[in-house]
Amino acid sequence: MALWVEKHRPLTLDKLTFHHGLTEHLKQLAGSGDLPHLLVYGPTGAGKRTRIAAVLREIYGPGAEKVKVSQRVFETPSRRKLEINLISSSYHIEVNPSDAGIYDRVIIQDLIKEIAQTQQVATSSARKFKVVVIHEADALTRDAQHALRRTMEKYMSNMRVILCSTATGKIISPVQSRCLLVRVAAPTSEELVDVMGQVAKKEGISLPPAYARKLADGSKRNLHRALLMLEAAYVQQYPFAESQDVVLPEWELYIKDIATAALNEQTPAKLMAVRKQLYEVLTHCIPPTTVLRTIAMHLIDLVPELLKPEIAHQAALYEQRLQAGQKAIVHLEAFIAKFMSVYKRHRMEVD
Amino acid sequence: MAAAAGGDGKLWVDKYRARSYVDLLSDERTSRAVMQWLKEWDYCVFGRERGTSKAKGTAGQDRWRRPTQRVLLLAGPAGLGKTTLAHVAARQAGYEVVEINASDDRTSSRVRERIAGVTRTRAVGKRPQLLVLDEIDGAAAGQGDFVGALARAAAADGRRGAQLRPIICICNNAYAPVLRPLRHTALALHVGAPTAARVAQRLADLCAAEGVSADAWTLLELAQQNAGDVRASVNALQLATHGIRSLSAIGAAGAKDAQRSLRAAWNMIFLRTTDDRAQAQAVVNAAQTSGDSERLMQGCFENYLRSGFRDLTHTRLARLCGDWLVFHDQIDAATRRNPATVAALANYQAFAIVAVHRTCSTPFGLSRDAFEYPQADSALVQGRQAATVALQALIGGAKCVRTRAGLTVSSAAVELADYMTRILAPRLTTANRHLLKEPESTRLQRLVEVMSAWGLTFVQNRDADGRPAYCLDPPVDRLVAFRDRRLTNAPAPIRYSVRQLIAQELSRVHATSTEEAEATAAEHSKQEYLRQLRAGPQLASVLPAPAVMTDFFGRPRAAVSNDGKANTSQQPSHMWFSFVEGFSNAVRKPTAMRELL
Repeated sequence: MALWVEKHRPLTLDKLTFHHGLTEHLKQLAGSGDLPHLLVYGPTGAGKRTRIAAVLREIYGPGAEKVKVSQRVFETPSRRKLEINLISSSYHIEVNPSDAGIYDRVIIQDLIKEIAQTQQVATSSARKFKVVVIHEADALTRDAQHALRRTMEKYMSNMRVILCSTATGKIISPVQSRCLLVRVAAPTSEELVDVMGQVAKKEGISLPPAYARKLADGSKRNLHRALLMLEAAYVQQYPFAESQDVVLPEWELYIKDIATAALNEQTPAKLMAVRKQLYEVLTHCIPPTTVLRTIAMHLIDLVPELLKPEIAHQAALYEQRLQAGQKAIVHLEAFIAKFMSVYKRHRMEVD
Repeated sequence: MAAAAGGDGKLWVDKYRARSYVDLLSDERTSRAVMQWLKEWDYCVFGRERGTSKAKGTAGQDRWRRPTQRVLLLAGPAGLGKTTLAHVAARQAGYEVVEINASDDRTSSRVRERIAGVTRTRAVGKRPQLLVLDEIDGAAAGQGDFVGALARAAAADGRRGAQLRPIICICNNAYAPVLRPLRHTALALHVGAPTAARVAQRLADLCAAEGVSADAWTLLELAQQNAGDVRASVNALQLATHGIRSLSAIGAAGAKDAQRSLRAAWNMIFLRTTDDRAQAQAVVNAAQTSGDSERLMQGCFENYLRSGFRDLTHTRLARLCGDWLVFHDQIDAATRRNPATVAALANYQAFAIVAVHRTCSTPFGLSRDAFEYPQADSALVQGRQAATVALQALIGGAKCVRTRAGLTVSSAAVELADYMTRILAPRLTTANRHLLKEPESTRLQRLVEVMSAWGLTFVQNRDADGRPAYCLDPPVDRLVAFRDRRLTNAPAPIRYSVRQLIAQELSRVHATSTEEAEATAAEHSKQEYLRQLRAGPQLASVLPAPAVMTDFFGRPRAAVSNDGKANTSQQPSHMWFSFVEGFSNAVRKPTAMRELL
């Protein structure tokens, strides 16, 4: 078997370990024989996908787990060919339209309409409807969301949509109002410790609670990451020692270095050096928003109390501009330059 | 252009076009190569060995002894005399030139007709024809598959459809996507720019012929300004000397906007002069005429920190970068989203450039060695591309479909790649599998499990120093390493021999898993078969006859019951037999079933 995080993923609703209240609700929903459209949202590593898969299994039985990957070619109005990976069982289909960039509307229209217009033929299946799972729904363009909204109503009789996203902010309100909103919160540290303990038990290793707590804190309430951390730590050193370091991802440390560098010296030359590092991070496919947030969080930790609101304000401003902009590097550098200016003025006032 | 024409109403470019091979201005080697390629056609076209034995090289493979590459592709920037070269060389080699250029109808059916007309027929008493397709990269995709039609015609080998005359194609960019079908079948030659001195020499001859006096220095300057573009030089010369009989120090007239204009704009931006208003105006002009505002801004962005301007509190810098550069980028983004707004918004972008000028310019300007041509952006794009490919390979390699579904490139980069490399680097001290002790052998086993579940392997390769090395494929470990930084808490690197062991182990596991898969499949079908057997007698027809006992010769033997008495077979049997008749040398005779039972 593969990584622990895959191996010990619960497959049914009964085996889910936390958010028991939510699990009860989902069970009732799935058991009722009908399902509204769902919008499942919550931070990464909280278990959205796991819950969606478990709900599907609850509805359709084990058949929903027999999934296969297929490739479909879509043609945009400008005659460009798009290849999209679809994951489908005989009851549902999963698609990640963000693969298609700005052409996601085409996928929504073509694919979903096609599915919606065919009825479930297999009489053996208890349900009349198929389910379309749309991952990363917050990356959908406005056009695609508007395309979705009519489809969701029109084909309600034989199709349900499950949207999966990190936040509801980017889903247009007409789509939100057509869905039942399901919030999957990030697990608390206690829950993480609990899950890690169970995994450790299944793997037959002993995990001291103190170290588990340390891992849970380092994972930022992300279960996926916590389990990867646990496995990495196990490979690195076992038996665990209380003093053993929690390994943070390399890119995170690198970004923290950038923040520290900006804090130590505020000159054009330093900004130049920082830019080089920022380019390096972006080359590693780390999303620019993540970079900006990590830098801002680290800076807020380090600067004096007085400056914290200002930094947070600037970070929010530049994150917004970053998302509207074209070249991420300009906005990241602008944020650093702004920070340097604010911080330098503050230091001169203090001196 | 009537105004530009000389006294006799002719453009000098046409009037003094090279008429013979020796007049050609293009690089000697290129001209020679063209000529040589044309000579290779001699046997096919003229039916005789003409010219020297040099031409024999590649010709003569096929029935008509044509050269292997039947299309010649001349590529190079505009105005270097590619068309002239093609015409002159063709005439020199004894052909009559038929030209199809962008002004002609170039749908694929038309082109096929023309090609057929030229290359497969022969007019009586005339010179054989040669087809020149000019401006071939301008063939838009809308014009049908013009290039594809050409490539197919060139590749055709049948007795009827074969191309029996040379075709020369001319383009500016040999790597234009529309030319892709041709790339394998054509012989591509790059026409380089002639040296400025050579062009100036020609200009001087031309002046002498026209009776214009011109000093050599000016002509050289003119040639240099046009960066080897002969046509532009001649045009400029004609325009400048229109009506006058002597030429000295022609001004900026006729200077071709070459790549240098961007560089000049950058220099202007970073230079502060005493007349600030005028300089700012000049910067605006430069920004608006540079034509590539994105590149211009990228150059400013990558260099503004290098100009040593004074800024004590960092306020000016923050304002510049934080407001103006961001502003420029926002306009950029807006115009990309809606290209219709380009005209309306482009003028505002100049303000950002002026802001860079106001903040960063110094009286000294940017020194030549401090300035760097903007490349970071394209480097970023390339680097990202490589990382994306590796991540996609990692995701695509996962055996578990559900895992694969749950990963995107960015989530794999943020969450998975780092821990993956750590999980893939357990401590293994010995490379001998038989000497591995308990904790390590489990470690190895787990590692192999994870790697095979993710489709990862070690492939033998050579590192930068040329030593053999086993590299992880897809290269996940390289995704995690950052330049000029050592990995914190880095796992000890795995030695070559250990990697070798892992690779061997992996291939072994792979082999056994395929075997197991086959075995399971076989087992599965056996189970299925037995199940069917039990299901009922009517299904037993699939049973080949395993229940029948056979004697030494393979003949079925009568079953002997426990009491030693042969069963009488008159009663209806519950068994059905089906005999699959194969090849056999045995003697056959008809046998009734009851004799056997």
